[in-house]
Amino acid sequence: MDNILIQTKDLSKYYADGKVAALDKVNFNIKRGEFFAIKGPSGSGKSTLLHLIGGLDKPTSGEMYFEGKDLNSFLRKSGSRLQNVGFVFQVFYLWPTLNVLQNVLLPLVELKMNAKEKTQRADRLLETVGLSRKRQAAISNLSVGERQRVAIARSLVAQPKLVLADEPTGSLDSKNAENILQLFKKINRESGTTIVIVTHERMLDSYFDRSINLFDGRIKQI
Amino acid sequence: MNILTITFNNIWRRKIRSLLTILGVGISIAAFVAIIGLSEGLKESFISNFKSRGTDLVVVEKGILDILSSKVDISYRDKLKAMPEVEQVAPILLDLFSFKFKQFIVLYGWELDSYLFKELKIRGSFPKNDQEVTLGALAAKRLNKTTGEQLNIKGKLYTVAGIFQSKSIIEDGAVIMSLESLQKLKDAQGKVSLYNIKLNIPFRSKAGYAQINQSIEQAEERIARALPELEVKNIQNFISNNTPMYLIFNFTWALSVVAFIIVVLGIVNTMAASVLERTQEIGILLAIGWRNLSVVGMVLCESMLLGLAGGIVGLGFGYLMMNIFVLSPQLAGLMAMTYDPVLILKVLIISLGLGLVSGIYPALKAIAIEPMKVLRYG
Ligand SMILES: Nc1ncnc2c1ncn2[C@@H]1O[C@H](COP(=O)(O)OP(=O)(O)OP(=O)(O)O)[C@@H](O)[C@H]1O
Ligand SMILES: [Mg+2]
Repeated sequence: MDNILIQTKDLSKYYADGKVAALDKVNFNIKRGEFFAIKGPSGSGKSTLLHLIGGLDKPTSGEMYFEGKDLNSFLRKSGSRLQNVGFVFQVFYLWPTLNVLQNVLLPLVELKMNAKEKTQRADRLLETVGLSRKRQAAISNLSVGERQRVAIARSLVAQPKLVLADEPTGSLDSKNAENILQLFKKINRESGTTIVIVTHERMLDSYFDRSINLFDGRIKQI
Repeated sequence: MNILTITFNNIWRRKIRSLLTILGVGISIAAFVAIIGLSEGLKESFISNFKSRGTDLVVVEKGILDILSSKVDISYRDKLKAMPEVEQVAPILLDLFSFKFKQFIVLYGWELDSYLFKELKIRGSFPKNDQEVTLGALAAKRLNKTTGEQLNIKGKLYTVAGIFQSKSIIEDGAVIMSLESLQKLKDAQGKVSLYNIKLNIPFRSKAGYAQINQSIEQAEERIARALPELEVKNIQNFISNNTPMYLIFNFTWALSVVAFIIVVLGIVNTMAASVLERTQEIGILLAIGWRNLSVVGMVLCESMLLGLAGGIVGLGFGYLMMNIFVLSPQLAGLMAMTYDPVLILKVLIISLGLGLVSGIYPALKAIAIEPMKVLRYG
């Protein structure tokens, strides 16, 4: 089907010589433009799944497709993720010695665009995430919520088809968490970018188009 | 914002370490600059010593390593003179004398009507008899003597008849006396150290460089065939093979290689540490879609920049060292300070190249980082 971005088939990941099943025969799909949630308690396999569909890790068995192509050989190649998948990691992983703007520009080093265009694109995103005034600030002077928003801007700047965010609200208070979720939703609605968010907070259900629940590495039907 | 921005950022965040690396590289490169500069400078000054007199060929004793030990019979003078390709022959006897501890001055014994005198600018006069000497301007300064004063050389007293200036710094630092006088002083009656030969090259002033060289080579061959018991050499060849320069040239290579190895080890060490401490950042770059090539570029850029900065520092230190050597009493009068643009360019290219080579291993280490391994939450 044309509007399916990600499709998995019996996707499994085992650790410790097969004794730990982080993911066990997971079947699901994500459609283009969806605002999608992966939920489940701690240790249920959410991060493992996110890393697999982001092309950062190899499954033990099963199949994954990105736009119908074998995801494993497509997204795991050097440089291939840049314009296909953007990541927002739980602890941000910003470059501490570069300023806010430079951190957002980091992925664009790979793209052949002139410097002015790159800066304009980064500035637009900084405005979207509400950090225009801090574009020259050092990362160490930002609050946790602000760092999270820099990480979000960085994940979007190369205009990937899919953005994967691993518990982006985990280290935020509930008000900031809600702000971030609203920001993601706005980006999803305005740019049509497919966004997948890992979370274990239940009350946020209403935000998402669709979600799956993981439990001990399996999808739990609700 | 591009790879260069990030490179500067990386170097800057570890200022002290970068500085120490650059200094280390700089010192090794400085040693290289000084060694090459000195040996090239010495060579140039020896060559110009002959060129300034218009000498094309040199005839010395066969199989000598050190020109000071060469002894050729004076009877060859007339044999050489009789050859059609020879325009002029100037026998020279060479010696050294020490006037202070470890400080030497070159002594020349020239025939009083030698063509060698023609290129020198004189105040006073050249030696007119066996009791007179003439000093090069630099020698006069070092000996602190002027015209009319007495000079003691190896226990004998001579009168300074005049002071001359030469384009060649070796001559400028030398003392000239008559051939017979030096033969007596050195106890080498009937002997000379070498013959300087000026060739009969038709239309010399109009002929091209290659043409002259060809004429010189041909004459060299003919004379060598006629006098197989002697060594006949053109100037370049002579300087590289029949003077102590030969030893210096071989030695510079060995020292340069050692200097380069030290440079590479220094940069590899720094870059490997730099990659290691940035494992997480590099892993994230790879995770967000940087190509391996860009990561390699980033590391190589950094190591090349360290190399280049070291090269620049090395040039500074190197020329400083050279200056000190050239002005030292032991080397005074042997060479002039020169800044060879070719050497400077060579040094810059070599340091960039060494930086590049040093970056390869750390760069391979960098792209071997697995993004999954650095995504540890907590
Ligand atoms: N590298 C690893 N080696 C061994 N076991 C692992 C490894 N990574 C994850 N696991 C195990 O796989 C299971 C799923 O881990 P995962 O990190 O995907 O859970 P999660 O749902 O993201 O949990 P959390 O909400 O705490 O982040 C866990 O039992 C975990 O201990
Ligand atoms: Mg997790």
